[in-house]
Amino acid sequence: MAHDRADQGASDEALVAGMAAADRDATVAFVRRYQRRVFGLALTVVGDAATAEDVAQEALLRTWRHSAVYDARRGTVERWVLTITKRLAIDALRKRRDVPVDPLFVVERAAVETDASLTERVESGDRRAMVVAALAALPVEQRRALVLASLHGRTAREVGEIEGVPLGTAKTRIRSALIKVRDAVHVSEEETA
Amino acid sequence: MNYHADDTVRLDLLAAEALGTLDGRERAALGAHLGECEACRRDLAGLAEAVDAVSLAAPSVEPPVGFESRVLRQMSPRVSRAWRPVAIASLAAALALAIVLGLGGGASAPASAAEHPLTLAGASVGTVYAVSGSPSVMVVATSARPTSAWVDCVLVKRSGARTSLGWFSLARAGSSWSVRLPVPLADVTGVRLVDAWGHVVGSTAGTAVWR
Repeated sequence: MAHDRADQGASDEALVAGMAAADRDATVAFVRRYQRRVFGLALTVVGDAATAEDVAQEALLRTWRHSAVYDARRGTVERWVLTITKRLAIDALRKRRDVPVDPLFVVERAAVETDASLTERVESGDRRAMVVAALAALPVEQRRALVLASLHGRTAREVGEIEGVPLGTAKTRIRSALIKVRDAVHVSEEETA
Repeated sequence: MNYHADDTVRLDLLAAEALGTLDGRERAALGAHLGECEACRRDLAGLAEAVDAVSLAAPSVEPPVGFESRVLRQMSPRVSRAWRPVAIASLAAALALAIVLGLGGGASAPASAAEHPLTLAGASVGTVYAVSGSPSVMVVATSARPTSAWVDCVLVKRSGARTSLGWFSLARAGSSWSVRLPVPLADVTGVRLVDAWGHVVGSTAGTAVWR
């Protein structure tokens, strides 16, 4: 199929450049490559499919609209797309009055994904596997604090209120978790370099 | 503030910045420090990378049925990207072409050609030169290259009816083409250029008939 041919082996950067040049095949390939990631992240943050769909659609449209200004020097396409998605999702979350207190699809998933294949994927340099492994290795309260702060846009004060702990404790949990994830991602990159 | 007095406080601030939760005043103060401190810049970059990495842990989930087509439908070429500006085609060159092709019944003076600017959202994309005669002739000169290599040249008549004058290739920048009009100029109120996706990428203004 014409669309499959366009996607075979094309790098993310090539697809974004294609979108910027109004190449229809590249645009279709990009949407097909990223729609599950984008929708999945949106759903993880907002919790309901209808809102997630709106967020995901807007995120993909924004990447399309701004494809001409994507700058590879500022980061990977993956990071760019997911950052746009996350910001829109957090905005959508903030607009809602009811706030989900229990975050955490990703937290629960992270806890159960520690199996043999995860280790292999970490060793093979799969960045997502590295992050999942790092999250799984965190004490659960640090994992919850980090997910609340990074995926739900909560301040340390809000994390403290949600978790029922003092501000200082919330800050410590967020900081410790973030440093561990940072170290896991960095160490892995050094090892695979 | 001495950012390096207490490393815990420093990292908390950098983490909050990476998470986007610092208030305006704290951000401004930290920003000033970052301008002078490479160590903090490096630490911030590492923490920011970690924040973004957490997004990777979210699972991929199949969107609802129809999502893909709904999204793609909205990703069609729009105004701002329908044309790429290139060298401007000259009136003389356009009319010379018409003359060479023996069109226009001998009308060769530029003064006898009525100019109708082609625009898209206020931006100029070319000009249509209407040369009255028997038959009347129109020369379309584009000053930009559209994203779609082919455009349908559509005549808008006084009755409101539209007639396609044919598809023209704009593979080269600043292309122009001549076309005999199937109706008198007095019947014509405008021209539209339509791209392969069905979007109007240029049109003449007004509803008055062309002389």
